[in-house]
Amino acid sequence: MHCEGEKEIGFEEALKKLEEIIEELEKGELPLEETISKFEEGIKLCKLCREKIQKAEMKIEKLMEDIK
Amino acid sequence: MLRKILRVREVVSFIRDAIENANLNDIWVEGEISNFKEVVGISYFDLKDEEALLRCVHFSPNKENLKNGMKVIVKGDIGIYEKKGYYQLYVKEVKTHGIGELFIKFIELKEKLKKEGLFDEKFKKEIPKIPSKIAIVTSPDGAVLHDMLNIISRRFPTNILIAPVRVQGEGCEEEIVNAINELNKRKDIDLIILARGGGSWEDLQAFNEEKVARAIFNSHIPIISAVGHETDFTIADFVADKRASTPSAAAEMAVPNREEIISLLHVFEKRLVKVVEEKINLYGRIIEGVMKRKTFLHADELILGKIEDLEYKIERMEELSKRYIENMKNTINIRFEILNAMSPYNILNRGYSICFKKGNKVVSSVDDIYIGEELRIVVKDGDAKCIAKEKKKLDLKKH
Repeated sequence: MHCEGEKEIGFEEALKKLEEIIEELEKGELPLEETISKFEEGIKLCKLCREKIQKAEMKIEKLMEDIK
Repeated sequence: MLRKILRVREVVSFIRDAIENANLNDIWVEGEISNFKEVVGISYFDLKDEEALLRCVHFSPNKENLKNGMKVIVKGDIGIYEKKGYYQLYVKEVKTHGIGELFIKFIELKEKLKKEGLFDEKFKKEIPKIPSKIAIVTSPDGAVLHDMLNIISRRFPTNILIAPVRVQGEGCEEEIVNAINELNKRKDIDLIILARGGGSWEDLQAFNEEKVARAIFNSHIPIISAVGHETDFTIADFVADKRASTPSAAAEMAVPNREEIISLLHVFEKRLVKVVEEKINLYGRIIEGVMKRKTFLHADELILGKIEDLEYKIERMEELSKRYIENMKNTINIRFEILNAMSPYNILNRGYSICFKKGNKVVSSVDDIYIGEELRIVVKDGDAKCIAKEKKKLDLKKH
């Protein structure tokens, strides 16, 4: 994720997309080129998810609004 | 029907049908215990009020320590014991503590909201598998919040927003409702945990309030409710999208275990690689299959064969053209000889001469010659001018 303006895909979304890609590939109906390009996309998503997990940290904030 | 004489079993059966149709199942009944006895692990007693009495049986030893005179509320089904000819309440639950106004209110509200459909499965929202920001509505003091944060941090660190509220005491339900509503105004929260630690039935009352139930129902952000101990069920628990038996359980429900996700990713990677490998192998096998065919295996033989063919043809062509040229040469030679033989110069070489008259006309007959005419005689090495002196014609018939 090098360009700042790009909307980063959420973690859960990424995992879901990854699962979809794998299921589509496992159906085996794609031609070789598409297989390879989807494979690359899948690997990229894996990497992205791994990164997000490594970087995950807990940020705690308190609700400031007056709820009393 | 009343005309014929009925059997006992028919009457009792009739009554049983009537009771079953009345559908007095899962009903709560309050009353005072009398005639209590426990026999072989089964509790028998009557529930009574000022005007009536209801026989009860509870297939359970006296865990609640029931005594005659105690005011209780029991839950059960009305059924008929045909052999003995009486109906009774088959008890499923007995409540001795926290009864009275509070409990009655609880039961009544529960029934009311259930009828309205607030507890229906179809309204329950899915909670995100991996939330990006969790809001926790709970008391800021105490171990509950601390424990939840620990668990979340250990399992899968996520962004947390704490909405501090009082979880018991006068008017605290307002704070809870406000917190839920405020959180719903935001766009960054994808999960709310409503939590409160264990306490007495009275302490948990805020979570049995109607306005809290409605705030939970109306929340478009999914809510996990975790109130009290494992066995405590409040109305909030019934309305919420998910119920956790304790706040710690809620924290575990809210986020996945990091390790699990890492394993999952690992498996995903393996599957990806496997699919591509298989695809490549498949194509490899297809190519192999094609290459095994004669055309490929003996390609060099076939090509060599063709080359030999070609070479042979070329040889033949060379031969044929040589021969043709030879033939031509011969033909030309022969013709040349013939021509040569017919050439006048040949005649001259043989010693003959050619006679020309004026105008380079060849003299081939005596008739062409005039006496005194100038003639030119050509021999092989030159020519001479002559004058015809006399002529004599031959009689060719003689020859």
